[in-house]
Amino acid sequence: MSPLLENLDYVATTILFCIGLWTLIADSNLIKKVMGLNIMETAVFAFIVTSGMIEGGDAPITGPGAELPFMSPIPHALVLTGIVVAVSTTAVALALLLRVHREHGTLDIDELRGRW
Amino acid sequence: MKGRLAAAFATGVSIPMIAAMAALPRHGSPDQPIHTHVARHYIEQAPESANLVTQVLLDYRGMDTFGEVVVIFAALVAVLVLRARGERPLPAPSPSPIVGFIVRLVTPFFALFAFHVILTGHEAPGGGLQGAAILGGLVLMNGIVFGPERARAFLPTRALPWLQGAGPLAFLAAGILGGITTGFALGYPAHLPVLHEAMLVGVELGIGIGGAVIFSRLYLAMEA
Repeated sequence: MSPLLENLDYVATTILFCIGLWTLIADSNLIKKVMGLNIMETAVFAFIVTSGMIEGGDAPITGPGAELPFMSPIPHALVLTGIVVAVSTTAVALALLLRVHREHGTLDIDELRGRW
Repeated sequence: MKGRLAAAFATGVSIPMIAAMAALPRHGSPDQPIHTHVARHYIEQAPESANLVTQVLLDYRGMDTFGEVVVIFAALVAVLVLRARGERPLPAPSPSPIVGFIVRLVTPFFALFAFHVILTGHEAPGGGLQGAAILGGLVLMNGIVFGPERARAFLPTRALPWLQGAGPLAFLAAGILGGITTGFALGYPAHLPVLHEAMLVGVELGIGIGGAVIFSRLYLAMEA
């Protein structure tokens, strides 16, 4: 099998990342830009979690019935931290956008640019 | 025009990235570097019955998690500063009887499940942040269906300033306690099993309740 097909999961997260990047650049609505940023973040999280998988591996929880090999617990812990940071940045971005909307009455970047 | 240019740019970026993905070690094979370095050490040193993800989160990378709860607390402070003045509250929605009944019905079970996830997180699937997300989701669900006033009723007014900081405060307390008993900040004393358990549960509860209050407050700050 070609290496591209073997790593199809990674390729899927890359495509998701690029969809997010495209939304971030192309859309003139600021809310949709935040959504694009969130899609990119999700893609990165999916990539990191996927990298910790082992074929036929068990969840990294020891106790009765748990069998080696375990999946790597580090990516899960890192992504958990990352998700919280993503939530925080999204919240601050949305609060800023609410403020922009209150001051200018629009969230369209082209309209906003005309007012500066 | 702008959309096409952006699409061309995103496609251009994707090509080297996909090429790099194809060069990575095969997905799911146990001999990748991610499984052979510290992860193996963590799994070999694991206690009898433990959730290794929570173990890594609270123990090996305790400082990371401490930073993370400070980040989300800082986000709340920033949002509250930005949304401080001159807001007009939205009218409360009138939910359909079915939606209202179901939300009222599931609320206690939802809360029970959230606390189960928080309290058993160090030895079963779950943990503080997962429980915080469930509890925060519960408050958000009530706020969306019954209006922000109902969501606000979930938060105790007088204890609110302390609950918002519960995550960082619990970590600070555990860090100092660990420092006294083991000589390392955020060390968990293995020779005192009761204190060890109490510290883990305390930190989880701090993250869980503090996180849930922060999520609810973030939602309420946007709403009203």
